Amino acid sequence: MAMIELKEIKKEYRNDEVVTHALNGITLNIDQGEFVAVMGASGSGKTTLLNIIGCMDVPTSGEYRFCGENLGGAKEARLSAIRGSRIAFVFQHFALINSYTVFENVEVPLVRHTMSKSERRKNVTAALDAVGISELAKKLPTHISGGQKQRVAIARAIACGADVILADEPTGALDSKTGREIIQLFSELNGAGKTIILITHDRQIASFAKRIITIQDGRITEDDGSVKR
Amino acid sequence: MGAIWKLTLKELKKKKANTLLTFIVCLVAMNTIFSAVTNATSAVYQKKQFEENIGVNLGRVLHLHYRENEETEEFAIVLSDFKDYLRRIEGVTAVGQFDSTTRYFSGIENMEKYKEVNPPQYEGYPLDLSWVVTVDEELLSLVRGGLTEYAKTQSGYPPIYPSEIFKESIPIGTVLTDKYNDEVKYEVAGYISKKSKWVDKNDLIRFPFISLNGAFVAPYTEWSRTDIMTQLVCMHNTYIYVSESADLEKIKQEIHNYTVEHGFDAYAETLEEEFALYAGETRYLTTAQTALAIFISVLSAISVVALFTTNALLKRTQYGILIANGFTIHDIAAEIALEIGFITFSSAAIMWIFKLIELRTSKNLGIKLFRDILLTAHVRFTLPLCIAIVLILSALSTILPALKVIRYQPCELIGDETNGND
Repeated sequence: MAMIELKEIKKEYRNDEVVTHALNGITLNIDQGEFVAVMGASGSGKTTLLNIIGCMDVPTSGEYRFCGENLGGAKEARLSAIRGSRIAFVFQHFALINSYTVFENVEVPLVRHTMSKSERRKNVTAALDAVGISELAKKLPTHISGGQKQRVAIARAIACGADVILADEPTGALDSKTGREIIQLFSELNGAGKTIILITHDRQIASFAKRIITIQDGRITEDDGSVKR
Repeated sequence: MGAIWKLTLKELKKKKANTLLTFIVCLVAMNTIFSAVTNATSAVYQKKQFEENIGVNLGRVLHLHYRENEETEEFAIVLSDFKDYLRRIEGVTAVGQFDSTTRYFSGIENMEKYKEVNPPQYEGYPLDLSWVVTVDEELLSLVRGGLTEYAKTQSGYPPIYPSEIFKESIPIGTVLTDKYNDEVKYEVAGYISKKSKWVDKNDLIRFPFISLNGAFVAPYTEWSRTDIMTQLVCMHNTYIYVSESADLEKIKQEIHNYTVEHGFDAYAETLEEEFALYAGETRYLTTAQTALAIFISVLSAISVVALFTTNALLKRTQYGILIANGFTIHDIAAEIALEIGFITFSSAAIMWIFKLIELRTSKNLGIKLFRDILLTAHVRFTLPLCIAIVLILSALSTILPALKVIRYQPCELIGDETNGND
């Protein structure tokens, strides 16, 4: 049984009379521990696919199973529980709360968990250590570099103990050197057992992944997963 | 809920300037609303209180107005007879007068204990001066504090009731002699409590209650029937109780006719009519003030709601980040509600307490005269209304931003942080 199973997933956006088909019947299985890069031109449906996998959006039709659980019609509370503990996001523009310190940003997903303050502190400190930015704990996101911000976002994904990390163009706002460092970090996390799904335009970045999927007009046009796996 | 509360407190703490600004806007709004409510309800409550104290419908109590002024000993008798005549009119159930004077009682100048406790309202006056409230038994209901009828004394002198602060210096049974008013004698028959109050005779339309602490209460004496100053002053403080079935207009006419026949001019109006006249005279001002208060209150409420809605919309991306990290859209709505509720409730509570302290301690004459009424209105009417206003304000301020946030998919809230809409 694959960890992520998508079957004939379609997503439509309606704006008055105009219907946009963002996803046109995606069928895809991703196993635990995979490192998948999703590539495609702008508007091909990559982010929509990532949002559906991450329970941030719901498909118009089709079936989505996460660890065998059919999430079609699942309640908001269930989807948010998965988001907060099993799946974590890393966004292109970091998605950090500027008024929170680095420590507090990493702590955000843990606030919803039932754990003591000391446990939370331990998890956050370990996550910051893992990405090498523990000295920045008290700083505000506005006072650190782009690469450091992305590390904070990754630390947040690690801290909540998610099995799957969804990264939407995580190097898009970074210079190439920092971008490579961040991708290296993802590789290490994958080596530690995390499932990584990464969206990128950059073929060089995608080459770090073990499987590359290409999307065009909401359809998978290429999936070299079987070759590289 | 603990997580949401934690998040709310963090938000309030993190956005200090924003929280403070919102808090100040709420304080100003609450101040306006509470002042308008307390003033409006206290006016109504004051009228009801006076009605309760006088014991009958204000439409069945006539108040005498006197227009001639003849200062002769003989005329005092004419006025005393007039009072007796009033009691005999068909349909009149009681007639009462009251007055407030200062007297010198023999022997008090030597009572050190008396002078020690004689309250500071006599500042600048000799400490042996006594404040005497003269009230007919029919109007004792206007004296709040337990005195309902006059006792018969052993000596046969009229009874007098000193304030209980004089208990140690003037024991029951003491005979007090008025040094300058024909040496009228009274016998101390009891005490009035420190908390006793009565209506301020200088404000006969609104009747504020003032403290009787340090006063004496006594009935009119035979001597007062012949004292022209007492009779003239008390003409304006004459109240005529009329039965429900009596013809008011006829009684009014009879009163007027009697006075004209006896060489003076007096007429009577019901207290209801006097209130109506007063309300009519002040209607424009009162209406304008109330309209202004409502206008400002509505504007304040709108600005509070608008401020909270704008704040929530500005935090749209932040809400998206929270949702991406395990919070539900309903958690966000709850967080908005808690944040708004916290600010509105705390500002309302602080302003309510501030107004309470202000009403209790203000030296402003308007507040001093009506302190009890304003305090009662503030506690009994403004408090529940304040809770209702805060609930409504919080609900409105929550529903609008929450609806705006809930209508988005989580991925739409965080839109700006992604790489676009592909």
